[in-house]
Amino acid sequence: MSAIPANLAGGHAHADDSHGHGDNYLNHQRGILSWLLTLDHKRIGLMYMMAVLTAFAIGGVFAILLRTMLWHPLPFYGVNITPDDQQRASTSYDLYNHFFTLHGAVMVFLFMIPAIPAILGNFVLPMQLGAKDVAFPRLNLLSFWIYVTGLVFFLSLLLGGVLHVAFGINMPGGFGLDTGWTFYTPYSSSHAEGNVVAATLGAFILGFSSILTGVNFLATVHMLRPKGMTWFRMPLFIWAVYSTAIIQILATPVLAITLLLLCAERAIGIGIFDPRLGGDPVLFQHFFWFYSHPAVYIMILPAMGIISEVMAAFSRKHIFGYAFIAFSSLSIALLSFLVWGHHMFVSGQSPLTNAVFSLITFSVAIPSAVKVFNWLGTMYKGSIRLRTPMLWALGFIWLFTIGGLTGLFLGALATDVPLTNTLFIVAHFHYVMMGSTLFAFMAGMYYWFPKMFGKMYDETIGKWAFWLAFIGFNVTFFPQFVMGSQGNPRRYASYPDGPIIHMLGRDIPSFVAGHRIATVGAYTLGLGLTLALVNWLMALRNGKKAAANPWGANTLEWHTPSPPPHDNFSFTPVAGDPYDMHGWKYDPAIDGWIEDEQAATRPSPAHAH
Amino acid sequence: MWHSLLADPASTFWLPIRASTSAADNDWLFNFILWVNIFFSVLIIALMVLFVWRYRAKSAGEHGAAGGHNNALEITWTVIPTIICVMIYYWGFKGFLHEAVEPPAGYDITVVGRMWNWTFIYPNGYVSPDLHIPPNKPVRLVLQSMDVIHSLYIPAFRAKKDVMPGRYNRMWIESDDPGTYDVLCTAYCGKNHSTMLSKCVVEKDMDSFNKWLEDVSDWRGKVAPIDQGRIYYNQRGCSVCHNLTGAPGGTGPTWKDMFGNTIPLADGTTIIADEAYVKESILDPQAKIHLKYGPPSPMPSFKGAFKDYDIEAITYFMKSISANYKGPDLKPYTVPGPKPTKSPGEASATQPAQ
Repeated sequence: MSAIPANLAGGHAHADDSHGHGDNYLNHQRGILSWLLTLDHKRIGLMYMMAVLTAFAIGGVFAILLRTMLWHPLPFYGVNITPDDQQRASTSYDLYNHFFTLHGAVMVFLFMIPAIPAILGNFVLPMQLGAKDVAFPRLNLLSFWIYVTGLVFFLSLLLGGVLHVAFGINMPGGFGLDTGWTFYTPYSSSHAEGNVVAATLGAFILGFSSILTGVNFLATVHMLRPKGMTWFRMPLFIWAVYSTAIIQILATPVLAITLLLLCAERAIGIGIFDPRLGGDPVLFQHFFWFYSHPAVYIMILPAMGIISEVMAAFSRKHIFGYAFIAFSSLSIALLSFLVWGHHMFVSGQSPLTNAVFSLITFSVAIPSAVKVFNWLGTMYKGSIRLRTPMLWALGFIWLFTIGGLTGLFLGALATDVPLTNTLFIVAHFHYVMMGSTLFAFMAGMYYWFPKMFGKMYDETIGKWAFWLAFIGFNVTFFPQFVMGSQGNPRRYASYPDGPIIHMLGRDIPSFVAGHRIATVGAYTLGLGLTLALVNWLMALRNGKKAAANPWGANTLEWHTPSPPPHDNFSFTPVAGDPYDMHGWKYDPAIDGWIEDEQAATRPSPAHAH
Repeated sequence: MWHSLLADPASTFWLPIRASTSAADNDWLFNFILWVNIFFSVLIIALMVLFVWRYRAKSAGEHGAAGGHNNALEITWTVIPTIICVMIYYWGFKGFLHEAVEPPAGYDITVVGRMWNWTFIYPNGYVSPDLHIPPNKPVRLVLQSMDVIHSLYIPAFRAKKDVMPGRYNRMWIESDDPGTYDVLCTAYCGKNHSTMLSKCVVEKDMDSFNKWLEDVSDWRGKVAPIDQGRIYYNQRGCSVCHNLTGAPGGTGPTWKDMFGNTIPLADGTTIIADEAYVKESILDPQAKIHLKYGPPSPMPSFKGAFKDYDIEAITYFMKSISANYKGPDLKPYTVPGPKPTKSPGEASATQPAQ
């Protein structure tokens, strides 16, 4: 394989014109090996896209399956039933437990953690820095293949489950996974029938992919910034990915150790977490959340970075409060390490511990609120274009606002007690972590799609996809807030009738109604996301040619053709203010923006480095 | 206006029916945060929609106004949320403290969680599948798990606590509203997690609670006295001091062959161990002290813990294991009928692993 030079110095290898004719990274080399062994960050980003979206589809199928099961409240709640009924019910409970566990584990470890950093971070970050590649391209390829190895471990769980259910064959180590994505001990270490060892090893391996990506991005941001890009001229997406990288490097090793200890207890009976072996189950929760709480910010920080880019570009206005957004990313990254105990308010840890964790938890709310207000400030007196990426970004603000505000119920000790471990918390974290991350990811995909492939998608279909997903999402998860505060626990395969609503002369059991509304919402959400995929595939096949800068944004990736050449830039980029867009003027002929020679507003790099 | 709404314990759109003394405060905070939520989400979403409409692009090539930042604005929208957060934190902490500090005088019930049911052990040793509590009296629950983590949740009381293997967690509840309420497990515990349910029955008053406990604890007609005697021997701590093997030593005399035997007393006299002696020794251990075990006798009084028919059951059991007992043959048997308890040895089996 001919390696791609990773050094940043050097001239322009491919001096082509700014409209993307001829040689680009997609056609630079041909053959399957030129992809599988590529050191090009853009190609690695696309390979990540294939793998991560595959995982997303698997996680989504499980979501649809478990919501479908919840259509019917298995009629065994608190009623006398025969042993035969019990047997049948147990089988379906079992299936449900496997479904929600695999849904959660696949979505968290294989989709949400890697989605934005690995796909969009890989593709965009070096280009926003005006660099030819990340600092360590070989390490980058390695972390991709480590990810694939972790994916294979999870696929083995699915294979084991299918073999068990369809053919009655039991793989060594158990089938499927029924621990919940949190792997709480001692259930996971001593009782679960799923293949916990394969799952934890899979997550352990995925952690290394995450750490290596973080190291790579950190080094890239420090070493490869172009002339003119001071720390405070970095695009906010870079700030966000940089903050994320800090968390990835510091938190993930703790998860790795924890999962290894869990494996050791499960496989050879070393007593760490199971009291019967002399261990402490609460210790596991401390270890687990020490990683998994910051992990929430691994998901949401890069998402916030995307929103800052999209908000500025589609408001055609300088981002409002740049420094506040940048510092709020950093402060969220640091505070995220100090709040893990809020997952354990009812575990029996001391009231003093609870009081301290509750207080620090509220302090994370502030930088998040600051970001939202700054995005609104960016829209104020802008020139707002409701293109598809902007719609997804506005959807993000909606979901993040609701998700973040409902966190107040859970940060406050007294109200957390009844709400924790109910559907309220499921709704809360789906809004704030999953919905927000997903909608920002979609905003980013639609925003950079023209850059990635040099093709434009059909905006009408893209907007339809947004509205279906947006309505579907809210219909799925909003009822779960109410069902949760009414007392429906999470991870329940069957559920009670709930308070009876008298409507139209009928008595409607509210939990049955709520779950069915949620299930309809899940199908709608699934349809919307499928439509987005169709939208992209159609664009790849016969999309219009995209301009180098279809949105008129001023970060460096828009200064190079779409799709970019193999070496990203045919010139040595000099960075100015990433959000000063006055140097671009609209050209209707290409439905894009070209550099305005008259404007020449790009400030000189006065305080470089 | 809110408080008049809150005085009604019936369920609302957001919250289930309310039946504990601390639930009203909890619901007040919930509603306060709810209004904070509604205010800010409406504000943010309205501004968002307003800006999208008001500042929509008029032409393809248009630029927005020059942007930047405004420190006064930044400080405003940092300080206002901070103040609100501190308020919510304080009220949340205060409510939690109330729930965390046990009242000194309360009624104690031991809760045992296992895959996948709850059992509630009363001070008299009765083991119940449902939680019955007296009204208007703090009830302290000591939680323990036989296997994995469970979590005891009573939505109507707004109360929840994890049930951990290997440690005792505690919580307390107090209800002022007689009725029947759901008891749920909220920590995922395997296959039948969603059927790990029970009921909490708040009795009408202390008397009806006591009557319930007395009725359900009455084993007569369900278990043979001789079997109930063995259950008490195992459950009530007799077995700690009195062995059944006849081995010497121990804190109290062996029960093997004791009934009908002649017992040497500390005051130099002797006595035949008959029904009257057994009863007196259980109720007032210092009355006649065995020569080798006192004075004073290390045995605590069981006055109030046993009814007469309980002591008869213990006596029957002692007779059945004594060669000195002269009377009709006593073979353990159990009459058919519902079992009042889970299994003999329940209490000793509920000690969590060390």
